Amino acid sequence: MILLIIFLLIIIFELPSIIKQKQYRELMAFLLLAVLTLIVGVTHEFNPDLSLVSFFIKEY
Amino acid sequence: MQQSDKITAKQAFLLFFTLGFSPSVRLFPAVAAKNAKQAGWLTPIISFLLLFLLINIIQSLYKNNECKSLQEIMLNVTGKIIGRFLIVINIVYCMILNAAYVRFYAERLTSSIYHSINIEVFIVIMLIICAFVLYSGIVVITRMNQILLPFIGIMFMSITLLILGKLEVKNILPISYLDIIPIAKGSIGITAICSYATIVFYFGDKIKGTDKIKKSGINVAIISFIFLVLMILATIGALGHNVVAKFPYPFFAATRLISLFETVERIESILVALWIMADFIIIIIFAYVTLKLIKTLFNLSSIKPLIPLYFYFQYIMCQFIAINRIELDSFSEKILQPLNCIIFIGIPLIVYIIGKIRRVV
Repeated sequence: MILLIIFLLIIIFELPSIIKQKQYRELMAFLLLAVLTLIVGVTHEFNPDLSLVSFFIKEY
Repeated sequence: MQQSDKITAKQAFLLFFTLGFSPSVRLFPAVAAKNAKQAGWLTPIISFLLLFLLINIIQSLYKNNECKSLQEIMLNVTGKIIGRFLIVINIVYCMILNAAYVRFYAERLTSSIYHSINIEVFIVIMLIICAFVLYSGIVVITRMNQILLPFIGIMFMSITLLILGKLEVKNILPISYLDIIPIAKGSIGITAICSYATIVFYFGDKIKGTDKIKKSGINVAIISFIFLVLMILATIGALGHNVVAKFPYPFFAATRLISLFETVERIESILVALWIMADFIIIIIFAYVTLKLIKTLFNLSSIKPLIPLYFYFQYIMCQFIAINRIELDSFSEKILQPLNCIIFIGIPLIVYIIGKIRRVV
């Protein structure tokens, strides 16, 4: 829960200034990174036994 | 751009020296002892020959491309599509490597000194500090490195010389021509770290005097080579290759042997402090490089809006990367070390060959 609040706070603080300055490329990079963070975060939260190593090494 | 906004080639290679310090202490004695046994202290020879080759390749790439970052040179030489593909590979890999180093830093602290403290405490503290410092830019980070490096160098050399006092000749000899192949196998891990010479040129646009890359690079490489051979020699010489191969942090274990006049002991805490300093530099440089690569890919004006989110991503990624230290060590040995060689040596080499064929390098 705390993690989610911090994530939302980062978006709330950074996003308006990016939009205000009409930096659309920055916006695109920011949103891509946010989506990537959400994917990794949600995967880790719902399946804590899954790790990046298990994708590469079969024993794990 | 003003000259004060730039760093020199020498400062860039000093960053490379610090980048290599932390993984060297963690990895090299164990890898060398495991593969080359008593001849492990000779493993840096092959790696450093490859490092000299890499420095020459980078110097050649910068011959007609001054004031450009390596990723811009990639785009120039290979064209937009292949160039961007190479940048994406570098971004993904640098993100994974950065997360691995954050995790290594925290795991090392909890497994060496702070056994009962939650790993997340160290991760959060380090990432917050790195995020704040990264806002200051690469020049400040480089100058910070210049201040930290003498401490790291002098203390590390003192510890190594003290361990050398415990050296037993039977642990490092005999050596014959039969050791050549084991030495070559053991050098893969060391070459993986030597390949970080490429990393500092991902912000090559911030480096002035790129005509001195070769000179500065070879000077720093020779000093690193001496440090490295002495470290492996001291560790294998004091503990023996069988013991070194089984320890998770053999140099740390060897440091515990040090006793000055039977009064000053347990100086391994100094080594942990040096480790934290070097880890701080390595985490912040990988973060900067990743954000610089993203900046080139999306043609951004600044990396600053991405800094908080990037470090938040690293906090999650470093926990997702592996469940425990055994997995992390295995990941480093089986995946990261070969990939380091492919991405940080292989890609510049391919770019150099394409550049020579197209006559743009």
